[in-house]
Amino acid sequence: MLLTVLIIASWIRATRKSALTALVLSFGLSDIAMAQFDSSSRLPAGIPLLNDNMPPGMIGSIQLQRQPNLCGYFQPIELRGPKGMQFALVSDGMFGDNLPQPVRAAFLVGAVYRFRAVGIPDEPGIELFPSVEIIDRTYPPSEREHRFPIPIELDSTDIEAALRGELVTRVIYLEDSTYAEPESYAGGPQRVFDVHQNEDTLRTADAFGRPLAILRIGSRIPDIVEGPTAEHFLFGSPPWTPIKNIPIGKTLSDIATP
Amino acid sequence: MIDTRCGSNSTSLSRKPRLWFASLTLFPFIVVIGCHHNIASKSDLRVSEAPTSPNSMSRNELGSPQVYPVSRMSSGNAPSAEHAQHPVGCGNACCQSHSYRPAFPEFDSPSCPTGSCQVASYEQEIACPLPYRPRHIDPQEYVFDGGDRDPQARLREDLTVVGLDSEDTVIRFETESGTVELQAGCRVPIYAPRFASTRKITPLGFSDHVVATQAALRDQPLGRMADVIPPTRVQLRQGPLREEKVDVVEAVRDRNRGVLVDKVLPAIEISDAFQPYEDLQIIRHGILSSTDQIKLRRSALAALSWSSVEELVILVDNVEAKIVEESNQPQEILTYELDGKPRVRICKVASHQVAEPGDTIDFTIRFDNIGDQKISNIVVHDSLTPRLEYVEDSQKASLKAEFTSQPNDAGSSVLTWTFSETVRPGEGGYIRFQCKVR
Repeated sequence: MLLTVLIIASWIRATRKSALTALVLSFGLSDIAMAQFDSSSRLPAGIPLLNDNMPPGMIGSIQLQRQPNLCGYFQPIELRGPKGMQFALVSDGMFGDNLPQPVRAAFLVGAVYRFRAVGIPDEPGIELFPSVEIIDRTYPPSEREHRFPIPIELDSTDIEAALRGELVTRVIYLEDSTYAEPESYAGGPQRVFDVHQNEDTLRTADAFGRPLAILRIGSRIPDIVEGPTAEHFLFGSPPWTPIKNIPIGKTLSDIATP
Repeated sequence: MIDTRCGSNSTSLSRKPRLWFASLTLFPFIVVIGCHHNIASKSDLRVSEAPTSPNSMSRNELGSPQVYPVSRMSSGNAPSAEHAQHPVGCGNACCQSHSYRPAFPEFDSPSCPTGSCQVASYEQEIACPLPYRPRHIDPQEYVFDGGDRDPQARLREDLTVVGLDSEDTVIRFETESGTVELQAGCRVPIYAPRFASTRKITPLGFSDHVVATQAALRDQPLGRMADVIPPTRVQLRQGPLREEKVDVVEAVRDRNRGVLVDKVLPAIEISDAFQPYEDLQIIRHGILSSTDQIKLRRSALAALSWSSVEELVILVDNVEAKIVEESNQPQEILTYELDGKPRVRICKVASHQVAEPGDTIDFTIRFDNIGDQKISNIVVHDSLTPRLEYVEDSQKASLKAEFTSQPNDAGSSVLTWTFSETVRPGEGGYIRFQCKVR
């Protein structure tokens, strides 16, 4: 407000306008400024606080700051990919065995996880090292968390783009059931909205529902991908826990051995 | 928000003069409020002004659900002692004390409804939101069916229903006294989250960073990443996993129980075997028992946990009606009928509390005439949410009814049953149908 008045006063002095004009202009501009920077608004127009260009871990960190209840929660996720693809997760700075998909695990909210994808169709011997950042959680009924993991899915478009040297950013979000698309995608690939380079995937996902995780896929590989010297590449090897695979539509008692 | 009230609102269109003139004359000395919202006359169709809806879900940035504390966390979500000593990934000190200094003051400033308060500074101590971690519920993860969302369903002069949104389930009926009434049913929440993703492919030339591989070559960590990398000392709560399905044997045992003869419904065009999820006295015999209320509450427990004052209310008498008027609409004015109290109770249950895309869910709607007049021309409308798809030819009704299915604005269907039979006081009927979760 004070800064606005000073600017207007200097302009008046230069252009010899009346004091009333200065007063009106200063109040008008200050109102606009206050509305622009109103901290109570949800997302100030034109000033995105979060965007998909932030480095991995930044958004999760801010989410933990804003919602302390997310702290320490293990969110079930499920890694999927094209047929034949296998995934290896990091444990204590080392990649584990290649696991057949779907790989179910529980990741810590706010942390970033590096994993290795091998068995790419038509690309034998090629490895990718995507990362997953968990930025929010789901709230399933108690003791049924394992049945509703967040699907982290790599499709052929992602892999081809990554192998071309491009960066693929996917924001997995929870659809708002009230305004969901009245189409059935059961059993099929995950529904994907491709956005333009100038658009923000995070904000687009926020408009459709609630963003939960960010998947980043590139093709650059550092010289060292394991061990203590690769701590930053592995994002500190945050803890995770495996989850028993339960087929869709089945329950624990259905697959229990007598 | 989830509204789980049974019969929480009702409107009526009277076909003869009422005593609303007396009410208007005495207003504002007499303000009678309740759940039975009579519209004065056929020519005076009054749609109450919808207040700022408390049922609208508030979302902050990133669509995070509003915090609705349920209870002091005694479950496994509570931080353990070890956790408190070694906070895992906590950006603030709430895990250790009752206040903290914000690292991002612009995010941690208290909400300012008037917009006059200032942004917190880095040095300012901010009290932790709650001394415990509240349980959250996100309505976006649920598929609802039933109830009456805002704007409420109303009757027009030509007896058509307006304001029938997706998810709404209402019943329209005509009484002996010539009143046409509209009443809403209860709301059934089913946990069925659906995920999708947005994707952006950025060529390297336009990218500011490349999956943080630069950080691996630096001596210093990138930004604040070092603060958020959690240690490996964590605990994951373990608990027994239970089966949510009801054993079929339970249904067989229940069928052998003694039932009240005068309350047995005629099983026309419908199987006489009740489904396990219909193991409620209100569904079987039209009698609302105390145990049923507990079961219905349990099925709507998720809704209860984050709704402020609403709860599953089945309106039987005036005492329970007061609960409704305390919750949402204290401004409503009620004109009492002197020639009887027509009232219908409609309740809805689902076979599953959780579902995945592709699952089929059985729904049962039970309606009973709990007034003291015969009711006729009963029409039940059920507008499905876009996540539910009606399974063709799956509907059955205990009374003779004409069924129609038409598309609604949400991309799903409006199911309508028009009953030709008259229902006497104390009698009722039920409807079954199946829906597939999209």
